[in-house]
Amino acid sequence: MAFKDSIKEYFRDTGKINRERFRKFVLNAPFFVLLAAVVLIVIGLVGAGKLKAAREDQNMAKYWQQGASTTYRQMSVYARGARNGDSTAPLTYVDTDISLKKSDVSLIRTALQGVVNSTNGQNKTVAAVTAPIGWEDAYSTTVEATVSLPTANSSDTAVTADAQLVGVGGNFRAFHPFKYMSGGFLPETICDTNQIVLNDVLAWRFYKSYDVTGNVVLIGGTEYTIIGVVREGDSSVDELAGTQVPRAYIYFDTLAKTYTPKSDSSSNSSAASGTSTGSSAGTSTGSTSSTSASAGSTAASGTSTGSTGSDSDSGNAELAIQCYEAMLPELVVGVANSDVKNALPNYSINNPQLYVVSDTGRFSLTRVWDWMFPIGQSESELANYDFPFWEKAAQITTTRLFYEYAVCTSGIVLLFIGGTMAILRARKLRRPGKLLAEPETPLIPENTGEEPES
Amino acid sequence: MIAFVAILAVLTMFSNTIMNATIPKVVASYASRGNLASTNGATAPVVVENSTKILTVDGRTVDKVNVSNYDTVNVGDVLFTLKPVENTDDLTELQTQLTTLQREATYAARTPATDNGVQAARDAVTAAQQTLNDAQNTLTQANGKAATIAAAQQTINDKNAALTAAEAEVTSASATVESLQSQMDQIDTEIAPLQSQVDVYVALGTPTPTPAAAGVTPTPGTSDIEILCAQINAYNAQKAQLQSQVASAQARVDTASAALTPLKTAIEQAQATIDAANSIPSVSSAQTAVNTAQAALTTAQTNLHDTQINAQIAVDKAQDEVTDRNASIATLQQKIAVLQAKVDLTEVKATAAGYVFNVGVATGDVMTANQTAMMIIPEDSSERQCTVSFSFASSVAESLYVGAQLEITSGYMQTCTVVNIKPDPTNPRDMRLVKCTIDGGDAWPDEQVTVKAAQSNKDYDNVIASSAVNEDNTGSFVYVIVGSSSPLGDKYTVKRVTVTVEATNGTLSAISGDGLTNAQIVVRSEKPLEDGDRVRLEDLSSSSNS
Repeated sequence: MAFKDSIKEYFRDTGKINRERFRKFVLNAPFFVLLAAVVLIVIGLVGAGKLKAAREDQNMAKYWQQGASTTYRQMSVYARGARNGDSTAPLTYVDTDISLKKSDVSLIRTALQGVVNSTNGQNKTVAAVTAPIGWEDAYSTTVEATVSLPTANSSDTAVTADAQLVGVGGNFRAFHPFKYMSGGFLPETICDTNQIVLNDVLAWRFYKSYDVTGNVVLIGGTEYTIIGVVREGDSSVDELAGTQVPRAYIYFDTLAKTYTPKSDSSSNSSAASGTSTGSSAGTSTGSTSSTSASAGSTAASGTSTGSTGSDSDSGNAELAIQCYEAMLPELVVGVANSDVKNALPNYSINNPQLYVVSDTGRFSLTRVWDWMFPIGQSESELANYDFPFWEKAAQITTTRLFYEYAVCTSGIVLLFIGGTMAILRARKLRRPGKLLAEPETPLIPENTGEEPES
Repeated sequence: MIAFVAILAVLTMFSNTIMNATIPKVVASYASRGNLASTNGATAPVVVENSTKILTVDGRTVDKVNVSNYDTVNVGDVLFTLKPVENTDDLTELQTQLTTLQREATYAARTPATDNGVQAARDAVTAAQQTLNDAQNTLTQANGKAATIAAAQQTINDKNAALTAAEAEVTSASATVESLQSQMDQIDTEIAPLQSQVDVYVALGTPTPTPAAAGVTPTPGTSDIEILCAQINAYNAQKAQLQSQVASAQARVDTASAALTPLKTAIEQAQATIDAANSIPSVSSAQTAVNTAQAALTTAQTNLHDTQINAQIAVDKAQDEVTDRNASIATLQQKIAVLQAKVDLTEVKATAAGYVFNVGVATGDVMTANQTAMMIIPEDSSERQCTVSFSFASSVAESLYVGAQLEITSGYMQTCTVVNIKPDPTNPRDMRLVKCTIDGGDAWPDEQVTVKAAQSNKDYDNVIASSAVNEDNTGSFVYVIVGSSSPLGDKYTVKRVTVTVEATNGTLSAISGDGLTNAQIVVRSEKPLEDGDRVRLEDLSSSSNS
């Protein structure tokens, strides 16, 4: 019994001491707490700001809507496809539920143009859409390829580089703010199908210069004229996302023509040959070419499992669209999200097979929270997607923003605590001579043998 | 100490160096006059000519869409179902209108023709014409009244003379007849005793002398009877002679008597003529009557004309009403048939086999008229008749011709052949619509196709790197540098200038717009800019190779 009492007394004394210590700390530590809070908040805000500033490509609606009374929302749709073997194979169309192809763009455009027209009080049903009117879109897909410089003699060793080829269509530039080192970007209306834009990494690797417009590079034996050099981003997130790799941009149609040749097309057959090792259900001739794009043959290989429509007829795997982006006017907040989903062919709300994301506002606190929680859900849902570098960067940014926001939130909590401390201290200061001295009567009542009030 | 550190931190935070770090660096350049070789390309959507459009049903609500894009359907497959029509007020209203019109038509057909007044007016004209004729006759008679009376009087006079002569002749001849008759009576008186004597002799049996043959002078008798007979014969001869004279005189009487009646009649007629002429009014009165009758006739004719016009108008109106009513009935019947068909329609079926594409309806949509709900295109891509209509500048289209092959940029199409060239209705002066057929392609409707037609080479006033040209919801623009100096240094901001891109080859763009002359145009920026943003200028030459 005595032991038990002694134990109880020990904890009672210890608790009393701790409470006294805490009281002293509370009364003496507001400045450091507030300083820490401010530091954390500043660190969080600066970090978040830097992360957001590096991802202006997610904020292009702000620049697109300059001077307009209507707000715009930037939307992205990511579709899946099949790569035969490795990333050097082009993303091929698989199924209407999970993939997008070029003809789907016209369907989406028609539907979205109807939505935009109805927003403007016009007829919802529209005829063929030559180009979006009152809104904007772009589509793209990526493939790994070997880019080389032409040699003066066939016996010379070609300078080559493994680069990522981005096939773009629509107004790609409106969604991706590049820093232009020289020239420009591929015009929306095609001037020359064999034009190419290099990123600074690839341009520097080839030429040790950025003023290289007018020069020619080879992809799959086809010459492409360089019309511009761009820098995409150089932040740590960009590096993680793979931005700092050799990359080039060509037209989507050109990429499609190069990588999914028709069986009767002899002119591009060399592009279809290459390093394919998979089963060939397409039209690959099986011949090899050291200078062709490494993914060329696999484009024609049998990746069109379960394909419908023309794919089964032609026997060719069709190049899939990896990313479709749209800039839509939005009279009601969030309506563009459902508009895009409704415009997608065969999109099911209950069982979405395409990843639709609103780039506008994706770095807000709530969106970041939704991204992070439940933990691991987003990653598992998007595991089968093959995202382009800008989306990878956006996702990494979202994750990092969570930590920045967490730091900021911690600072805010500390700020609240510090504020509370300051208030307590101020109340204490109203009693002269009591500031740092030992209180005559403890804040916590002395132990009287009774249980302390909770 | 703490306050000092805090102030220092704040000052450091807002120092020019750190503030400048937040200002994006830009590279600016001047637009220059130059030559730009550009490709004349055009983009247009593919049209599958032999696609089948499934049209919407006006006012109906989609219940369920059974197909989606790229689905294969056969003829008769149900594409989408419709919700029942809950509100048939329109149909009921139309049917009510139709019933009303049909009743009106029936009543109109049974209604007898109404007197339109034309016959009465025509009778009035006839009567007025008759009155005029009579008046004219009266006038004519009035004009010949004196002559008529004179002629009649002359006739009376003449006839009276003749009548007097004839009566005298009758009197004279009658007297002669009477005289001769009395002589004959005297002879008979003479003959009677003689005959009595003869009769006595005959009664006594005295033979009667044989009458002498005709032309033979009888021989005087010797006996009394003979003498008596001779005397009687002589008397009879005298009597016969007298009778001949009587007959002649009687003939004269008869002739004169016969002449008396016509003469009297003529006299009476002449007298009647005189009487009638005397009853004819005066010329002035007759002329007044003619004028009055002429005016009455004119009025009647005018009335007839007006009545006929009014009657024709009434007939035309009635006919128009009938025509309009019949047309309205036909229209209503057609509308009712269409509406009834729509009301009865519960599902829309495929009218062709192939791929479903461009599905534009969804569950719950309320459809409007004559819109494409979806289209069905041939399943076999080789059967699709694909065309594309490109709009080229006239100068570019001059180099094109029917049958020319255009370089096509799309991945799944092989050839693009020009089939016709005509003015673009949207700008017939400057643009040409070049219609092409697409072969060998797995083309889908509305798919964008880009072709190259020709190269052009032209001098432009403002040529700049294409990176300078930006685009937003209002169009193309560039940012020009606006500089200002202050004691703290130079300050640069960007100003948005709307431009028109006249041509581009990807690397360079020819632009036009206000305020481009001697303006520094941003060709490179660290981050996207907005109008009025403050920027830092970066040396292009030093940074391009960094």
